Amino acid sequence: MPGVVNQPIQVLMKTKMQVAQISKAGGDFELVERDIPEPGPGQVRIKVEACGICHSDELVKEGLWPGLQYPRVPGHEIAGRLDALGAGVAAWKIGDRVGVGWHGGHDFVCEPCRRGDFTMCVNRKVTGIDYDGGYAEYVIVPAETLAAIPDQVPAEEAGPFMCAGVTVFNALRHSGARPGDVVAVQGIGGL
Amino acid sequence: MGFQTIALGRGADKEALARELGAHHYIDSAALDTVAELQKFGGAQVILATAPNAAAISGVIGGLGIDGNLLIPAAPNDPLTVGVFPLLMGRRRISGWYSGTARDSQDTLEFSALSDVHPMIETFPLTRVAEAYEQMHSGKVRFRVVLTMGS
Repeated sequence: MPGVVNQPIQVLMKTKMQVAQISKAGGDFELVERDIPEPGPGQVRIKVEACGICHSDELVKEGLWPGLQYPRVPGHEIAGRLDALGAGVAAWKIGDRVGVGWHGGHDFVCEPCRRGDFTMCVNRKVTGIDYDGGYAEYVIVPAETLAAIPDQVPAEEAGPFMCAGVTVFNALRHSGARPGDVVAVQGIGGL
Repeated sequence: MGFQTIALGRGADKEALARELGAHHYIDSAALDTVAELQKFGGAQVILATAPNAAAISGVIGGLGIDGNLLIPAAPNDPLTVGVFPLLMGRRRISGWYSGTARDSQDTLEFSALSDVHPMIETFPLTRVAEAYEQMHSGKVRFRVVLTMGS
């Protein structure tokens, strides 16, 4: 066809992402550009759609978590879509809607893990504290931290369920209280 | 979850919201003796302390019923001040809770979809993170603040 230049289709792969980081205890949020990271074995990359701000993000901002390494991207109320899978991740596929909360991973081999008590892992990680979290366009997390988000729950609502929601729901369902029992809630809002 | 739910707050202004969120009863701790009011219900099986205020948490232990559980999922900065005698006399306990696994989180999401429970949220774009954080920290609004990343 005369006049038509046969140009190759140029695929513009996004290689940079924006994150909000804290560089020192008591520091302000800094919006910076970083390379989009690649997931290692057993890890996944999430394209973040929403991330709740939890009061405990203060631990990062004010440097109240012992041994915290800076700069750090906070955020442990993450909701988004799987964007890349590391080696050995079989149970999930790219495009899955997923959430990640406070519990940011476990080692599977310590005594509590051997008993199936993963949140009590002696080497447990906290999302957005032990590694960079969800105040970012992309985040890398261990695959064992992933929760599937039901279709009818939008990302911005799923976020707060990943820390505030699960903590209260899980606490109550293990509290011994049964239907009909009197349960008092001290404090309206927040958690 | 089928409980008879009593909301404890300071001030009458929070009652409407508490009832809207599903509370069957509201006790204004600023106007009433919370412990005495809870005992009118026979005492609480569980008091869930979501406000990280050590003095407020310490003050409600007497509102627990027999075998009652003061359940604390969020840490106040200060230590609790607790008389142990009421714990012994009612076989009461104070307990903490730590988060959950990914499957627990998924259960939470599925429960929210099943029972039509929604968080009250206010969204900000990532670029307005400082303002969003300040909004959370101020405690002025009773919403969860959520950053959104666009597409």
